[in-house]
Amino acid sequence: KNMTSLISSIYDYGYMTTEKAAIGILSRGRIPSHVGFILDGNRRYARKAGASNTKFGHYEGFKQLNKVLDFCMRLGIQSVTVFAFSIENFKRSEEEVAYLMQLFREAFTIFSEKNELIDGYRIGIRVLGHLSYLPSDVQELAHKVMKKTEHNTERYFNICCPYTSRDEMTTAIKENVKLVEQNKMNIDDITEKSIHDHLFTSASPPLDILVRTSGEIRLSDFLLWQASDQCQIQLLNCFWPELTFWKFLPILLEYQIYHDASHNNNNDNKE
Amino acid sequence: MAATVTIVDTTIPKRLTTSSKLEPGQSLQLISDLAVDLPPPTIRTKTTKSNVIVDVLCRILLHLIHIGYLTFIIYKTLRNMLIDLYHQHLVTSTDTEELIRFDKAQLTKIPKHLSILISSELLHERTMKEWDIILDDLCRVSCWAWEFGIEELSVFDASGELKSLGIDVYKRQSTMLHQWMTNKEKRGLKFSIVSAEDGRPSISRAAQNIVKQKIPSENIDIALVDKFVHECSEISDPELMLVYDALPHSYISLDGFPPWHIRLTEFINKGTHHRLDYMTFSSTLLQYSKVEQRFGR
Repeated sequence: KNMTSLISSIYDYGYMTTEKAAIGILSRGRIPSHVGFILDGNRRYARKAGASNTKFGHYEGFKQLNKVLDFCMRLGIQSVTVFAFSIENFKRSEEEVAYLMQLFREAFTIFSEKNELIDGYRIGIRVLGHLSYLPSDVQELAHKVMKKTEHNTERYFNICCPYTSRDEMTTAIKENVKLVEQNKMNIDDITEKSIHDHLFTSASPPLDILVRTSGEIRLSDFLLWQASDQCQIQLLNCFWPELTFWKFLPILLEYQIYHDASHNNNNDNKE
Repeated sequence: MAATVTIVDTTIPKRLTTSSKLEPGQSLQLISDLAVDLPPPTIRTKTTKSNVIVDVLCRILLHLIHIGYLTFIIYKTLRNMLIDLYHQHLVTSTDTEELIRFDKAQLTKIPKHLSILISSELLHERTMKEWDIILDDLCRVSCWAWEFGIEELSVFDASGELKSLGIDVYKRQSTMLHQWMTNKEKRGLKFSIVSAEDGRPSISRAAQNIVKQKIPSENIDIALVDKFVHECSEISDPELMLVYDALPHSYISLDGFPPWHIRLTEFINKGTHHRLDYMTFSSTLLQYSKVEQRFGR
């Protein structure tokens, strides 16, 4: 029995060291400033693992989110945006929605206490979306965690909950129109840029990579504006709780190798 | 050589003591497990002495890894090309209409609107002759699409090069389609060419139109914006998008496609294909329909 635990700790050590070495090497190359994740496949993962309830999938998904945030920060990625809950997801069963809301309560509470990951990297947590759709106590916790980290502007962790991209674009348009109504802006000042500046993600740099797990090949109303230009959309076949650093590695390599390719062409287009 | 980074492993924060409000009837065991269960983060502390040799070594290793990955991509691309050639060989019929009939019978769903995105990645290498070939391919594809029962076909070329060819494009396409339709039951196919100016800029135009129509900001909701965006736009929301003629990679890049329209669009990456031949086209439809491709009879 001691033998097996010795072997497993040697394996863990080797695994961790290889991961650290890989991150050390890769961070010498170009690192994306803003990466988005669609956390899809929690329920199917639970089924695959033989769990009796989808709650297991969401729980594992939350743990994996922390791991992903960790290696993203270690790589030097400045902003991480995740699709945690869609406005459409309210249509799911009451039980599942209640469980997810409880996960958010706990997550926001954990993040607003002394948290080494958040404090160590000085991560600003932003909860993006139509917050008024959330239960009031979850809303309060969301505002609390945002207030606690509002002075952190080096790194951002954007939690989209509850969010749809069309809702975001509509809100941006609404704010633009309101400014014109109040004579603070001219109608001709409504431009691509003015809409961009009113999006929920405007504090973060442009989206470089958008990753969707679970093999679905659509964006499902997530970051449509941000992903529609100069963004590498990667559609992975594994479920979200299975997204490890090694599965992310090829995505990072493609970014490092091809980033200049699309940027050069875009400059040609703009001429 | 000493490593340049010291990692500090930290322990998890203490368990939660807040009295969080639970939904009625729910007794979730989450509270005690979650705080303890989270994996420890690893924070880098600042390095006091940077070791130049390790840095150079890492950069060399990085370049080697890049070369290795590129080799892997090239191998995959060549392998897929060979497989495609083999499949072409399997197909016994040269009559495209017969092939379409065979493939169509296997489809469980067909997109109403198919959009084809011509990648901008190889833009600056394209000659007028190559644009002509692209146009030719597109006209033929419009006939096949019509045969499959697709109602709308749009082509997105970010640069606007295709759009600037003007009315000739539409004439060429409708002529070929009309010829294809002889002796068949007549039905329409909407064909549009879209470029980057129809992307994000058209959303700001829609917003300006909302202002011009004096709609108060409180009345602006998703349904209203949807109406205005589609009024400014020639195309409907595509169910399926085929991306082709790009560099070999697994990601797809949309180069400025209208963002409002792609909410539920499914994307299929044929970036390594540089011609829109029947195999490329049909395999995309079959993949969308989640059906295995069976070649020939």
